[in-house]
Amino acid sequence: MNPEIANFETELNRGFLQILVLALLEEEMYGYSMVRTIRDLGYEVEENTLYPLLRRLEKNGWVKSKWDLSEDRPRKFYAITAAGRKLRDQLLGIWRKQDQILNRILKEKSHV
Amino acid sequence: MSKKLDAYLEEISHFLSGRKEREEILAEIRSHILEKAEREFGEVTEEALEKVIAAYGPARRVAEEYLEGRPIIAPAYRIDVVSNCVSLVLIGLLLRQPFDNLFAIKVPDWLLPKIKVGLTVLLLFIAVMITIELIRNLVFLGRKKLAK
Repeated sequence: MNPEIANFETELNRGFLQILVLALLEEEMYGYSMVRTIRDLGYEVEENTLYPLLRRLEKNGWVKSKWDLSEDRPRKFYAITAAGRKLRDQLLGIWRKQDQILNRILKEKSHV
Repeated sequence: MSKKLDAYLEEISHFLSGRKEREEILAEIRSHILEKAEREFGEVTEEALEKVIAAYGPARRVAEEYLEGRPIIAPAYRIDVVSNCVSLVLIGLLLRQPFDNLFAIKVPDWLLPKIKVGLTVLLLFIAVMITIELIRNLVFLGRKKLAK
């Protein structure tokens, strides 16, 4: 990919990934299953981006985690918190508004 | 356990030194890598782990993602080894000094030998600590070579 576009993509992805993770975690999930689910949705996330992001979200109280030690391999499960839901809804609101604005501009231009 | 995975985690751990949540971060990465190796390669073998680790990325970059833009303070092991050796040579040179003219003020004759012994013991102690560190770094470098 054009390196200039890659930079823009990184910037756009940063915000998107946070909303995506908060939306996904309505259901309890562990890291590997998140990577797979996101890939199956047609989007790629680097493991090495996802885990630090989860850690930041948890530090701020938007996500909580717990280790499940019942299987022979310990897994860390993540879930959204009440504060996280509030944040997610606000972020979704911002994103929808941005989307509307862009759509309006694009529609007006196409009439010219 | 896997030599490769242990070596990889130890390297990440080195770059994260001083972070209180280090063990937790390493446990997360270990769990993910083992899970991925089993799911995508059928079973956890050294070859499967090697591929999964390669996809996870270089240890330094992995650690950097956790530091949120703060620079990594811990240098690479190779640089550590060099700096350990330089320190040892400098201490060796210092120990060869008679220390007689070390002080700007006149020290009583009975005190001078005591200060000299004290300084020598201190320098030797520092040298021993650096040697331990050097051996640790060399062992790690050797293990990393073997794991490859």
